[in-house]
Amino acid sequence: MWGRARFHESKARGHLGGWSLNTGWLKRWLFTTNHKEVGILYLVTSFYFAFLAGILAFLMRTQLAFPSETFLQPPQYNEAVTMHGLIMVLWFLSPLGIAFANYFVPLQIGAADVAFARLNATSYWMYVFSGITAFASFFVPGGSPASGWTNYSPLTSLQFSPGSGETLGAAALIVLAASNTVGTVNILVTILWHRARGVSFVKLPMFTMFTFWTMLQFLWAFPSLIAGLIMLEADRLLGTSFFTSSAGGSILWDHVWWFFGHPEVYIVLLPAFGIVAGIIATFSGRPVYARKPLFAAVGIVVLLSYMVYGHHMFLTGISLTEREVFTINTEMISIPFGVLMLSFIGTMYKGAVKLTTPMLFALGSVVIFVIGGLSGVFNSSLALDIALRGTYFVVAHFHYVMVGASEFGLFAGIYYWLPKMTGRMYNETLGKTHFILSFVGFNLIFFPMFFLEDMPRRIVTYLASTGWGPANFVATVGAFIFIPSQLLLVYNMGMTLRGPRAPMNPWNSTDREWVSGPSMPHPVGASSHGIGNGLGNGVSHATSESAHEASPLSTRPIILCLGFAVSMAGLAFGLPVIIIGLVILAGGVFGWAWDDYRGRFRLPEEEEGERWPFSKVPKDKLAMWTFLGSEAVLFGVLLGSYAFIRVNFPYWPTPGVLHDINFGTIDTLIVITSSLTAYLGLQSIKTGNRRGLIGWLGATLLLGIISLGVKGTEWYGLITNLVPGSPIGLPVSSYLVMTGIHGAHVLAGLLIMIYLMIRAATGGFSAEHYGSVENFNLYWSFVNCVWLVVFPLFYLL
Amino acid sequence: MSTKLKSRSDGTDVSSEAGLLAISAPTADTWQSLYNLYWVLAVAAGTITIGALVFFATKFRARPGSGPAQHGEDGKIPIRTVLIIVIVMASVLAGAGYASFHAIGVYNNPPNGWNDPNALHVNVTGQRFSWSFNCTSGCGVPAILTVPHNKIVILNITSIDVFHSFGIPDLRVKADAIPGKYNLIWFQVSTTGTFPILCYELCGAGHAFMRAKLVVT
Repeated sequence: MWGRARFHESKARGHLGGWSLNTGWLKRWLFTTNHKEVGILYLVTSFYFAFLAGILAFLMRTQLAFPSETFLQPPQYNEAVTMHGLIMVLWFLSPLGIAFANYFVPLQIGAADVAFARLNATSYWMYVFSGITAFASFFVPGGSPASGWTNYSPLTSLQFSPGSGETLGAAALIVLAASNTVGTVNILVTILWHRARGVSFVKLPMFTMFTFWTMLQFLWAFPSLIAGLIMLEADRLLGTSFFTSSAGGSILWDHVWWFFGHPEVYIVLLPAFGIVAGIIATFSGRPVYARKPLFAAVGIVVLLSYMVYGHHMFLTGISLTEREVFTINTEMISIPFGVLMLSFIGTMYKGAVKLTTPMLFALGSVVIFVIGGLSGVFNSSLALDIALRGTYFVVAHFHYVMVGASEFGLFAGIYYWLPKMTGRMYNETLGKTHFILSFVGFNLIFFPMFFLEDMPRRIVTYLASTGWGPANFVATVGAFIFIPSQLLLVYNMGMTLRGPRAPMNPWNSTDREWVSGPSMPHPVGASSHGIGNGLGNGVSHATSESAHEASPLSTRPIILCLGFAVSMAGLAFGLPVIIIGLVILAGGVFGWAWDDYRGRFRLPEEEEGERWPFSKVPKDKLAMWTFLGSEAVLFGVLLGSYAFIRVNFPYWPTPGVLHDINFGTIDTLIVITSSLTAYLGLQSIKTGNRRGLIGWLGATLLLGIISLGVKGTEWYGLITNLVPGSPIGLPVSSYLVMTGIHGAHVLAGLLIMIYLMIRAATGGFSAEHYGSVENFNLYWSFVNCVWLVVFPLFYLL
Repeated sequence: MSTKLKSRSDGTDVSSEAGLLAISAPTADTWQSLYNLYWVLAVAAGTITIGALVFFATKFRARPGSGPAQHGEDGKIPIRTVLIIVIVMASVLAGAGYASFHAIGVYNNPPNGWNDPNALHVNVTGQRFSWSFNCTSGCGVPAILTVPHNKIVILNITSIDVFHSFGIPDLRVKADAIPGKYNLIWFQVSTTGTFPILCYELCGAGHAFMRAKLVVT
């Protein structure tokens, strides 16, 4: 049904990697790179995952309704509790925010599409396949991950979780984190580089502004998760001992996990609040109150969010000073949220408030957030946390923030934008019924839990003598109201497709996605009106056609992502699966590069708009810088983990014992030289010297290969000295993983160089067009800089 | 709710003798008064915020026939209002934080120090899925920790397998039991009774059943 509206237009689209595509909505949805279509895909997929995780919640509440129930067995319950958390947070809430970002950020800033259309499809398919991988873990021997969504070590170690489900789950998380990194770079560059004239940075619409800040959190939080998962997988598969030894162990995992995990809470919350801010302004008929302080407040939240995670570790035995600092920081983060509340409430002042369904959900989100946020202040206290840690008080708190505030805000967005996405009106009565049932059901589930401040989390059952029965019973009744009532939303969304036609701007909003026409200075994206196009919204066919032209189909992203996910799943299923995955991945990457080489995937040049503060920086370069920003966190966390282990490890070998300093010095000299040769290659092409470029790139390639060879020799020496079957000691573990990740980056650099050399040889670069060479130089310098930190830390100190 | 003074928790199959009495333990008393303070502040702040929201949403309801409100331009920055919010919140939070720092002093400082020779020192070990207690005077059989009332008890908590968390909810004491780490807590109970000991971190299939009890004689 979604597909029919543009069914005929797909013929007019670009090539499909060599063969031209006939009609067929399936192919179009599989290979689309259009931001709206990807947005719709994200939205539908996230609902599917929410449905699955909702069933898990249903099972858990059924189990806990009465004392001493035996509906679920403990291992099943632990699987349910773990997967419910992981999927709801990572595969439902944050992707739903991304769905809106995909669809509406380009419209709100007047861009034709996101910055990198194929990368957009790539992040979506990684997300899909990661979710499938995560669910596949239910069907492997030993079942899915069952250590809680926090995956506390050493419960996740091979000794205590011998099944391959944990390996598979961690692999799925790595793919998801990669998806988020790709998507983040894309949306950040879109916001920074693709604003139409008149959309200055400080005047960004609320949702785009909140999304911008959220993306910065995505960018810097997820690399920490990737780093932790790499070490976890190394522990499980290679026999290293990052999280099983007492020098690293539980505390190291806590640091790495929560450095990601706490910002993730705000990642889930902020897009919803962006929607809420916009909706309250629209339905109050007033501009957003205290707009600039709001902008700054969200920025402060982002900054502080990296400095509060220690409140998850109050009882682990970290020092009193650390606990006091984290208490103060956590308390401080509630101050910018106070400014948010002020802005939301102040916007209604002297307005004309209309309590439509989106407005009800938005206000409901704020009310619930106030309760959730205030209960969070309890948890910020290093003293109160002693009794509250690990109890249902915490469960109540974070569900108030994540389900109540975040999900209600996102649902407000669905109702708000349904007329935009479909061109049709949803049923208001059903919507309000949905709100009332959700609001009542939600509070019935979670408010009683504030009074279970002694009941441990994640217990499969409890005795009647605990007195926890009544509150649990009420919570289960609430769940039986709340969960089924979500079907009303799905039903309403389905019926909207056949609903009455919506006017162009049904809410009288001033935001750009609703408004088009000559009054706006540059209405590029704003004029193409959703997938329900051609339904009489007064949009000219020609405009939407040109917006279409901007995003041809491509088969590459889905193939590439399938290959990546299969190869990662191979970590649990063995080498043959990894190889199959890598072959598919190589096919996707090669096809992608081939398309570029033949100039097949061309996007029309966009008119230059507002690019402050990056008006002088080319788009690809900005993307590379952004990506390197996340890479810096990845290596930072790995090096931080190394430092943590190093400080806590009693007998670290003195320099020269484990690693030959001569080898390291030679390698370092090679690395420095290769940076120089790469730079000379760039200078050659800047003067139009193609041969010089090829020559210098060849020299760089050779030096890279030699450098890998030197490392290979050292690896060989270390690995042959290992005792088979016994765990690898931390000094060797940390070296292998650190240089392994670095080596993988070098290898990727070598492949890029080969591609660049082929392109250079066939005339792909000139004195005017050398962007790819310059970006490669950035990447290569970064990788080499990492080595300049690794070398002294591992060889000299 | 702010005056809720007693926990209902038990968690063992033994009914709590102290179930209906106020337990007199310095940790529980300190915690409870701090908790009550936070509830008072939270209820006040919540009432003001939600009240303002509901009041505005009601008072400024669009009236039929009144037409759409003015979409005014983004006005001046209401610096004064924002500053007032920030200062009020910072002051209240500073007060709450100060109270918390004061309370943690009680938890961190047993009356005669951690090496008090007159205290009962117990090594607590978490192991899937039970707690064991070890002290020179023979205070514990498996899963039961027996201590005299009014005695200062100092627990040294660790784990030999996975991450657990040792908690005695009625006394408001808890510490993570982590392999390779030793965390100290102390308590003193002036009444006799039986109190449940529970695990507060998911440690595997038997997490819910990782119970023990504290018997104060």
